[in-house]
Amino acid sequence: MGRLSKDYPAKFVILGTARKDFVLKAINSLKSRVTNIVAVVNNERKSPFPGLDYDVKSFAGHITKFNISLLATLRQIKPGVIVVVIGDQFIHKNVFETLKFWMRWRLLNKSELYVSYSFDPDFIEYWDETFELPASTRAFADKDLSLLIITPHPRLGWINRPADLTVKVTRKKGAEQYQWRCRIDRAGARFTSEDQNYVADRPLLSVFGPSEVFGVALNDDEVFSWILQEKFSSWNVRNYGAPDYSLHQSCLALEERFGAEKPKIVILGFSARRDFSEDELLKAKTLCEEHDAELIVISMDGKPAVYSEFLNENGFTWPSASIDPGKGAAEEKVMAHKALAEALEETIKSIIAREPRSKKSDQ
Amino acid sequence: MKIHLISAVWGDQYTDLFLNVCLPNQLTPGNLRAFGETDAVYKIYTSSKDAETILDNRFYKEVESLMPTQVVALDHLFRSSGHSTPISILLMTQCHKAAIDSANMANAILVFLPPDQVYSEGAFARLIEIASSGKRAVTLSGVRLSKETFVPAFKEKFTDENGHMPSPSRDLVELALGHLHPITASMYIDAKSPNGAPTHLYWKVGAEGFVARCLHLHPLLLNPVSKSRLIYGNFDTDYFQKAAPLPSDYYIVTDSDDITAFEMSPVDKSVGFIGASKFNIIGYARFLKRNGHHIHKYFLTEAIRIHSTQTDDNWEAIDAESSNIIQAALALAKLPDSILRLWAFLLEKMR
Repeated sequence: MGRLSKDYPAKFVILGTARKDFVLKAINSLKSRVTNIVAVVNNERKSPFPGLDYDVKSFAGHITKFNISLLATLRQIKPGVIVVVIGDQFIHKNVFETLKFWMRWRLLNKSELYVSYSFDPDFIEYWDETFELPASTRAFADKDLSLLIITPHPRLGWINRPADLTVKVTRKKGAEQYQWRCRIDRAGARFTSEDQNYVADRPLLSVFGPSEVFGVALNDDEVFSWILQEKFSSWNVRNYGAPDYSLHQSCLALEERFGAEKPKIVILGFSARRDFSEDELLKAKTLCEEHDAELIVISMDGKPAVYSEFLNENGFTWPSASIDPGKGAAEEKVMAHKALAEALEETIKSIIAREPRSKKSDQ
Repeated sequence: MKIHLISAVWGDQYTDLFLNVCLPNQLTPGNLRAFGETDAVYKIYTSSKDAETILDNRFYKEVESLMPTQVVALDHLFRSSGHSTPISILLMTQCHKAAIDSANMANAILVFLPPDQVYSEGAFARLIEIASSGKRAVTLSGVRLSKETFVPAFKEKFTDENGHMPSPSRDLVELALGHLHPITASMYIDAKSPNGAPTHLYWKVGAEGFVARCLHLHPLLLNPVSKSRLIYGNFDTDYFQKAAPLPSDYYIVTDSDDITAFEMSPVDKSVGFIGASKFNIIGYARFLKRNGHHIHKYFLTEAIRIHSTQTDDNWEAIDAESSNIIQAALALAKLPDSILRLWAFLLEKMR
């Protein structure tokens, strides 16, 4: 989650509606990512909480709109984010209804609501009841996992959730079997290696873009970002592509990631036919310049390069207009990703060989 | 008619039960084979460890030969083992959430097949008929049985030469009546120690069966009116209210001859809170006041007959008796809780 960083300014409230061990797991997981944590638990459960490097506050009674004790506690804290820990059988309506009611009537300051599930304490999910899956996932509903891996996000609409998914599909009467596996790390990046280790002293190459970049219906090791990681083993390669992302969303994702890490090279894929916007590309270019990163853009559907005018030497198009990584059978997609990785290899090598942008501008 | 048959299953015990009892029971002419003319997909949500067992299973392979299948391993949900029951329900909800999203996107009808349920022969064929008639949801009682004793008896009685287990309704009920789970026994109106959460109430009709009144019914089929997502609670609680909000959209299976389903649970499955005294209508009215939405209350108005022989006038009389109690309890549930509490207190003192 891009927004959860150590320098997040507001108070981070963990609202325990679950067993102590679930709440502690959620706190421990979040402690590594944010500071300013305040655990808010029922009076009867307060004593077992160590509260060593976070505050613990308590309230009396059940969570309802009329629980003045909880409202007073939360008002005192003024949270920026409230994470509701769910450990029981169900997601309880009363907790969310109460918090939203108080916010709507300005009894409580507006906070972002998240959920932490007991079975998955390392992941917190933005709580958005109005969230709708992107319409284009409809076309793949029977064979695709992309609707299983997206989760609401307050700014980007949706992001990839941490996941390890495998789907085995049998098309008709035992025939046409295929299987694909998709793993996504805690930062929402698709795996580019078996261990997905981030080696701190290695330069970073980050990839952004829509379903084609993410590699829908491909195994992790068939996506071009995995192949790039193999080719550039002294680099960290991260694929932040997400199903159905528009160019605008990819640019927002790029902005979010610049808040958390410093890529040296950014690859931005988009569909020239679907949602090309010169403004968005310029925005991406400016962002990269501000952060001393080199930008490579790729039109994922083979439209000729029309962007080189302002993208200078790194304007890049799909190597062959006849190969589209988003279409065709799985085998064709695999070929397309291989071809893309090979074509990108040369461009990346030439960027690495050049002196860094900051040195160039110093001269 | 596009249909997603969905099951969420994981763990050795449930996977075994699903593969070697539920699937052979489903693989019969009147059940899975009845989906031949429809555009049906069988989808299983599981872990990759259990997926391996599923993919190797002979009955699963038979399902593959009948219709397209999809096995989805959601390993990030099953990372730690030994989940307690409450978390298992939450995990099940996550699987159903994924299944509902997928069905909504594909504009498909959902058939929820729990990995611990067996059906009467012809149940799925009937389900298709009902769905074709325009009903949006099919719900049934899914009475709970003791797995340890029921499963061997079920296999012995119904396994045919192909290893399939077609179970005609009355034969199934007859067998089931001898293996009722302690939770089921605690739901009888005359139970000495009644269940503290009486989601079902049962009235015995001799040795032939019982009449059930159920606040909660298992939704076997859903053709959602609104393509809403599963947000709160379990798939068979709040979600249903949004997906099919009108009582007229529901087909309640009121006769076991029509469709029968039984759920097989370990005998030591928590029975829940057991009341100290016998059933009393004030306590039940208070329970109804606190639990269930308008669809659940609508379920209660139907008498459900679970029977192993032909029904007669005696059943009519029991139907009427159960109706009187339910109508009275629903009327009482409209009173303020303070009055009901006082009433309950006075009754207790008088006792």
